[in-house]
Amino acid sequence: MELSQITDRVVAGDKQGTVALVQSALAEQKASLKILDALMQGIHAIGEKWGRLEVFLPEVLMASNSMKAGMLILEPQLKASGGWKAEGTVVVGTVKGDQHDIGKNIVATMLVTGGFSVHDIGIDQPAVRFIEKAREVDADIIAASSLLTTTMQGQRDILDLLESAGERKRFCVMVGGGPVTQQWADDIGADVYGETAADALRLANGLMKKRTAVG
Amino acid sequence: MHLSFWEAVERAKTGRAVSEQDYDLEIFVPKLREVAEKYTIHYDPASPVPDDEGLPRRLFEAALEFYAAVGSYCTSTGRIIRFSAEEILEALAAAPSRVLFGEGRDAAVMAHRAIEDPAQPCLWLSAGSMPTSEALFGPILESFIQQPLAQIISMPLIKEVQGVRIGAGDPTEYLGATRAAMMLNDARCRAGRPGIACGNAVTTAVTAAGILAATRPNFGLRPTDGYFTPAISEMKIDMDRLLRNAFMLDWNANIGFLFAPIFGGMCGGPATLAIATVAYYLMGAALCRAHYYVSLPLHFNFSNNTHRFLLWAVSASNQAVAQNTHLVPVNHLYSRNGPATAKLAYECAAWALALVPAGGNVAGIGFCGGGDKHDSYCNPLDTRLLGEISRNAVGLGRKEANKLINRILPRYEQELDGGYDMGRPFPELYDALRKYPKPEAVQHYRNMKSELKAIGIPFRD
Repeated sequence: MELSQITDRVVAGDKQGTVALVQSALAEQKASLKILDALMQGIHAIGEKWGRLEVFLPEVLMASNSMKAGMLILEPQLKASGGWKAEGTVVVGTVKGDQHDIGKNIVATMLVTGGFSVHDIGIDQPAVRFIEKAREVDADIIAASSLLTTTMQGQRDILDLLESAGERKRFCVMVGGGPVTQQWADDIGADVYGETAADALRLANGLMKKRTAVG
Repeated sequence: MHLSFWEAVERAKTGRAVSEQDYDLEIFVPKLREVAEKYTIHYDPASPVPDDEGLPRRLFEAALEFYAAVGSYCTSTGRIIRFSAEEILEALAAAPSRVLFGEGRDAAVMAHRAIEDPAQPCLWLSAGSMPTSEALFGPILESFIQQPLAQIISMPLIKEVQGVRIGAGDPTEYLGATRAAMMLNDARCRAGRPGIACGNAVTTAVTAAGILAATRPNFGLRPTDGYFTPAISEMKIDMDRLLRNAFMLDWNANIGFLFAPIFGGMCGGPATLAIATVAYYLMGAALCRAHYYVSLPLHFNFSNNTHRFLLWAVSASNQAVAQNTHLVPVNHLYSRNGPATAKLAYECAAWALALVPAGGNVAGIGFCGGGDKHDSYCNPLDTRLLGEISRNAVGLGRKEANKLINRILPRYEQELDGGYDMGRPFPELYDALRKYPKPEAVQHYRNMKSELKAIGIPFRD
């Protein structure tokens, strides 16, 4: 089989097809990093199409789900070969009282396309939940979305809780959402602010560079 | 048969159980695309005000088939609330075609309008749920209330009261909601229009508890104000929203079913967005027994609705509702550009041209600039301009409106995806003590009106 078929299945959002082809590729003893590359090419291709508005969020989510399903099969081989590491680990969610998920979903998907390991805790999440999950998965970044002025306080709560737990330096914090501004991010002590969800990958890469530099 | 609200609530507990992602990706999206294909709903970029005579009917039928198939998802129970096509049509037939807002001399009627209706649209002129301080809440409200064309106004969103930051779902929500209600009532009395309705009571009330608290009689809100039951995008609801809806039904209050279908999200592109938008009207009628329908399709990235393709979806969906129901729609403008800017004036013109000949009522202006982020950025004279354009768009056919809108769009659409003009905040445009516009604000309004008149907007005054 050609590895480009895996790319095509990811682009098509075909989870079952992707899984079947990854299994075939492994059976044919294709290199796990090359299989990974095929998966990533699929997600990059869909990301580019989305940037041009040729496809929309459903296609991006289905492609992301297909890629993640393929990764699940591939992961043991990747770990065994020691050849791959996620760019970083991110916990993503929408803060307490807020039911909006589109920004969070776009951020999560953008980060997956960039090779991050993403743990999406969903909507309406209290600050403590962000931190518990971040500890559980040893996250690098906590990304909190708020789309209502009245729920923005939830982002501050995360920073405050991290401070009082003495864990502020352990995690980077990224904030965004409709009413959120750079000024707000500065006021609450967040590391970065994204004006649009599409900024998330660039910002996350920047944070990881700093973390790596600091060591 | 006409269903009771309680039967609908029961279906939220007994309907088919499915995960939210499966509802989105296995049910909502495929059916939406299927009906778009089946009913040949296509976006035409050359006609932001579509005049395909068959489109309104096809769009309505697509939406009816779609909503009967997918229903609404209750996030509290993880179940789908479905209605048959017959039940939906029954609900539409039972819905009001006119809604009374306010009292006495300030009372206003928002009514169903036909395509190219010679009747004037209802004008809801304000700054949406713009965040502001306690100090400016009253002056801003009074300044909008004083606008003679404003038949309904919105209350801003108060961020802090007595130095306490207002949150959602905790006791501060009570503080914000009740104080906002009191201050609204004060402002409408001070502005000399005690009977004018607020269409978005109460901005600070995110939960049902907040609404229930703010509507205690001593705070001054009335059943003839307007109260939202907001849907969750896409096509979802939860028990807290249904609880507030139950209260409003019982109180005989004006229920505004608010929905913001998102371009680029699960609704996809303009054609499927238009179908979903019409389906939301059906949801509001069948599930919530709404009285008026507040439609604000939004761009997934910028949260505005003035891109060409969004104007098309707004116009097309309004035409479908106008021709095939007697519901009362109102569409809220969310601009990309800020107060007292030329580009905002163009956005207002485009909005009114897309909406009024399509049978809509007009609400505006929420300044987005990429989200509800700019405190106190508003200008009552911008809404005056929006109101005047809207009134003068009556009598325009869709073809004529199309010609005009295609002259307006090139003046701002190329830059929509880049940055935006911030404009100026209220204190720079208005004397907050006298609640009167400053000379530069008046001059800007006059300049833009002249410019729009030269472009062809048929101002008759």
